[in-house]
Amino acid sequence: MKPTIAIIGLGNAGSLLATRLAGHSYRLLLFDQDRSKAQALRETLLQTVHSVDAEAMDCKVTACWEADLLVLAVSEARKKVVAEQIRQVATCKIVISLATLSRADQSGAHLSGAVQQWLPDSKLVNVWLAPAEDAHLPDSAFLSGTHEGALAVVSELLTVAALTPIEVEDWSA
Amino acid sequence: MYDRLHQHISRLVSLTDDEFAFLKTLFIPKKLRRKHDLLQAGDVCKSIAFVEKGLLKAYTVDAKGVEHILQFAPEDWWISDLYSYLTGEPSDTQIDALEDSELLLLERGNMDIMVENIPKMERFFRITLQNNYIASQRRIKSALSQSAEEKYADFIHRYPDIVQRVPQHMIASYLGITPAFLSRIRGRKAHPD
Repeated sequence: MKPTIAIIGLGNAGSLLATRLAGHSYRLLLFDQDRSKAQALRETLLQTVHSVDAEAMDCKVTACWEADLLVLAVSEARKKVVAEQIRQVATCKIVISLATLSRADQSGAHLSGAVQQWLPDSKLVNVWLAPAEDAHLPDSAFLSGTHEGALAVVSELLTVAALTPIEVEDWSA
Repeated sequence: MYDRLHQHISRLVSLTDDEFAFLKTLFIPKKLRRKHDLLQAGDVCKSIAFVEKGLLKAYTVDAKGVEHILQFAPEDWWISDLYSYLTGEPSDTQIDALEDSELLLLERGNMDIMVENIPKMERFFRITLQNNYIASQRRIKSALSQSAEEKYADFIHRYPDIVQRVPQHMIASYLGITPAFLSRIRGRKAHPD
């Protein structure tokens, strides 16, 4: 079965992950509060990768209900609200809390422990994208979480997305 | 989202509210659209699925590309490739949705956690597996000894709801007869002389 991934929030981090996963063996369900964003991203993906299996969704709960793996890529400020909306359909599923690492703002790292509290029955993995400063170096992604099986699945996913996974200790602890 | 599961379990064992609340945390809620698949041949069947809403079919495809339907699963039924689920070996079965469906998936590890924490569920799964075994035995006997007419009469008697919801060629596949032959049987039933 081709895994279905819901990406909720299509800012820089969400779009980057979607773009990197397009054309691989995943079905992507794209959602953004601004619906035109999901539609536009889908069209861009279709133009670059013909084999892409991506759909713009109207409802984030339906997207997460259908998906096997969820990516929460909304701003840190909105994560609590969105987590509460999708909690019921996220039970037992792997949820990636996605953010872009920036030195100026470490607030994401402080909040990372909270997302697991908002989604107590999901397997949460925090992922921080760290684009390489030198274009010749591969991009990497830091990840942390307490569920080993989920960490392994997410590491594999990041590798497929051409992001070198680097496991770090739980920064929220 | 858990109403049917709750009723279904309550028929065999009674759970406290706390027990059911805990049990809910062990199932993956999964919405599956019509024609989308839950299990592909060659993959390991990682979970058993309870159907809250919708209808699924389990089938194998032979060397000629012909589908042989093993099971239909409407609401209140479980569907999986139990052999693959229990042994961890790749499945030769495909499962997909005939209607938009809402499922609750139970992975092996979570089933262990469930019966460890709620021992009453052992009884539930024992009876459920017994029923599954009885149904399999009935199906084997029917395949070996009943005429096509008897198989069809038995099917519509046992599963009147499924007859309304699936196309005739799938019922023929389930009964192991050609669609043309099923059509003749239905014609004879409608006009006995």
